[in-house]
Amino acid sequence: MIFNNITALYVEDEQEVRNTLSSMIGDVFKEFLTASNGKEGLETFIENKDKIDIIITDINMPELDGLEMIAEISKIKETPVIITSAYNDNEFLHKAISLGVSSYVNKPINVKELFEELKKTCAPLLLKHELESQEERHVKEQLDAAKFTAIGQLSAGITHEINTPLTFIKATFEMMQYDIEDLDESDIRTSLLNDAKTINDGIVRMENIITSMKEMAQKSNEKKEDANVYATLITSLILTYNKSKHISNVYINDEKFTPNISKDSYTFMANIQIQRIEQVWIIIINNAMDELQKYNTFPDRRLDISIESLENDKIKIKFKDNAGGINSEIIEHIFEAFKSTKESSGMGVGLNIAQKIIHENNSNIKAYNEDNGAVFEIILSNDKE
Amino acid sequence: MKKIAIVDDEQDILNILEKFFLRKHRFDVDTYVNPKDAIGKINSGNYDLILTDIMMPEVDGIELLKQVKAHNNSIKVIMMTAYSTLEKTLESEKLGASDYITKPFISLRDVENKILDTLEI
Repeated sequence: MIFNNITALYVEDEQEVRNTLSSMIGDVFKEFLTASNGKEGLETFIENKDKIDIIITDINMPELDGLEMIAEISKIKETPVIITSAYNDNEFLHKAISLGVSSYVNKPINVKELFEELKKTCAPLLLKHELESQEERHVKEQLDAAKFTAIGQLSAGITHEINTPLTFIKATFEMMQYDIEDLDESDIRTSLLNDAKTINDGIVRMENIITSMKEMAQKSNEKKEDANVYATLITSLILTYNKSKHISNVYINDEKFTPNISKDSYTFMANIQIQRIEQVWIIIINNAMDELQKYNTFPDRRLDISIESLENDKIKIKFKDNAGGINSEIIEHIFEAFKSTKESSGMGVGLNIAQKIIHENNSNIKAYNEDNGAVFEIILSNDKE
Repeated sequence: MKKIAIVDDEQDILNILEKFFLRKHRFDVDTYVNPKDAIGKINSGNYDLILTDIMMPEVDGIELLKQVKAHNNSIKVIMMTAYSTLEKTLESEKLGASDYITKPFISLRDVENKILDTLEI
């Protein structure tokens, strides 16, 4: 569809010729209007003058011939014209040129030849349309960005406003439960304790949403620096060790992780937002721990992290657990907000944030299942800015 | 009994923390809703530990931390905040804060445990 931005008007008095050409080339245009003589061509042009980009016209026609029609049209709007003609004597060509005709194609029409002329004539138009649609896209992107910023600011504000009452509601309710527990055994006490459980569940759910929204609202103005990606992995493992030590062994490049492991055993330099990238590793490690916790027992659980260089200075980081893999319904949406199955860990948007950060660092993240576990694979594109 | 001051611009949060600690009779607790007034009272009040919010009007928790530490470097300070970023944690740690609590609290008991740990009780 090379002319799919272009609307053409084709004027030809011989019905058979008109129909044949229309059926042969009409489809490659955005719109292909036809008229059966100069007068009708002029009328069609006037009706559609805003959208017609190019005119293809015969010369010898009743009522108003091609050149007369072009003369009228040129008074209305400058429009490129390709004429189809059986004759091409000098006098005629001079007249055509004086009317601004772009080119001509001999009759009988050779479609290939006509296409070449159309391409030449339409090139500036195609470019113009392309620029216009780029401009449109650009404006739309800016509008979207502005909208998202506004929504972001609004939700950051709301999040904070909700966080404070949530804090004292949760704490007060905890106190209330201690008071209930102190009551003498009775039906009322049992009933109150049951209700308290329901309210607690609700509070926890709200808290998880608010926590996630706080994470999302955090602005990223951290500068990119050259850093050893291996060291960021070790930092994240140290920060999550408190949790992971009770759940699973972690191996990094086949070495068992302990908090006194050296950060300089390997060097994989990249230009990254160090703390944001560490946040990504923490999200993935925590997610893996949550999944591993549901599977097997301590010595059989493992999280394998590997880091290696690829060509073009890229770095591949792979997190692989053995927690049974990700449900196939979820895996397609795993990076969308609130798509996680977790109800209690507050990570409903964790991977969404992780993906956002990875994209901000001009890199990619994907999730898939391998063997008996889930894999999160990140390719860091190491382009310096 | 150890003396504790709690600073937060939200009266409701002060109320519930005070109620919890009063019930436990574990610490002597004073609460301050105005951080600017709190600094003077803290500096003359012989407190063992300060529990302070970070985001407060006029004087924020970081500033309060700096000022009470400047007056008495052995005083323990625990920060409370809605936003737990690595940067903020490191910043307050650098300024001498002992611990960091996010809001909403995991539980009041968790707040109590952090205070007990910090006071090494």
